[in-house]
Amino acid sequence: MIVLKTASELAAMRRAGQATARALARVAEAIRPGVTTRELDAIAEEAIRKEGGVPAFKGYRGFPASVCLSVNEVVVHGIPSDRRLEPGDIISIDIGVILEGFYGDMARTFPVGAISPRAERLLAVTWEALERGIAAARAGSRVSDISWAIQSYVEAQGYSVVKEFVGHGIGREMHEDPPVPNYGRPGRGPRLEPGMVLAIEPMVNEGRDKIKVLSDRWTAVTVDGKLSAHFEDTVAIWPDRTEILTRLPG
Amino acid sequence: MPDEAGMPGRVNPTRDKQIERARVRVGQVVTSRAGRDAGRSYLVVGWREDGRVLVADGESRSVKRPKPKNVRHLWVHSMWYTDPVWVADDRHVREALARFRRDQEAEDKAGDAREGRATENGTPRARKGGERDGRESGDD
Repeated sequence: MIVLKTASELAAMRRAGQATARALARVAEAIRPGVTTRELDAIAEEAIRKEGGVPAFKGYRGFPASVCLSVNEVVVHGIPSDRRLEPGDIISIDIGVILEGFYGDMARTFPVGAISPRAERLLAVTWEALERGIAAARAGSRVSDISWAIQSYVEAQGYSVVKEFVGHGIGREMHEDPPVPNYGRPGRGPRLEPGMVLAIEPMVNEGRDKIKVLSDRWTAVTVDGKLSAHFEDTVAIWPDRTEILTRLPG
Repeated sequence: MPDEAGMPGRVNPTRDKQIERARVRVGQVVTSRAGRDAGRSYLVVGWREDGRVLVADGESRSVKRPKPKNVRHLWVHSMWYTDPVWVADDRHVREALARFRRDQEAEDKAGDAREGRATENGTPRARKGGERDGRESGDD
């Protein structure tokens, strides 16, 4: 069931999205070799509360922390721990904020110190995949047009997209309809209507697309142990354009 | 945070139906997004045993003879326009839907001026009028 938002609800979602983006920026500043992911989680929670929001992931289906921090071969849902970041690591920060009853959800993958050219390229391709996915999200097109834009680009670059996890509608709940897979042929699924809000989130693996979930029942890693990157934005569909709610102006 | 992908053909249709049922409540305004009535707005008046929603507009579809719709063929609007106890009365259904339409028009005009963003004219809302190609094939 897809919930359409009114203009004033979208304004509230914009505030939630902006708060999410500001909180993520705070965490990003703290990324450096030697910091533990648990310390980053604490910074994230403090930043979210400072924005007047509530960490959306904390306790969500039992998730034990405020943000998902996924290092290197961890695809998504990494649980903050005492692991220290090392130069050359890449770390995905997936952050969700509840503000005024609405969810903002976004993710970015950052380099820790200097990273290898192949890690650099993975980040660039995943970012471009997100941009292409957002460009395909227009009123009147269909959900799988987004999927196709992402998959066709990523695979042309020699990488693979994760199939087990998908983007999603978002609003008063974190996961609403419709699911937004990062794969599939175009022209299928629900038509995008003004008032729809989607979290578009390509998860791109350097090697094969196969993943497994560890015994903590959260941490998803690549089976081949190669790197994985994740970028996500929450976007609102307007009649004539698509607004990215989780990017700060300028 | 990504959602877990549903298995092809859905993992647990009964559970999915229960979830959708819990989300669409009697008294809520919905807009049809598929079928010959696509674009029409209704009030939810009940549920059928087969899991379909019963909707009425107090005009072509009275509360005595509501139309069954698949939940997945409906847009659900989050604002409430009536107390659920009144949905048994066609006149109240018509009035609630009239309030809903007035709001939609007002949002069209004022929506973004109120948010102080002059560049954003036009308000997101369900498309009016029969948009037949919005129908999803193989869904029903």
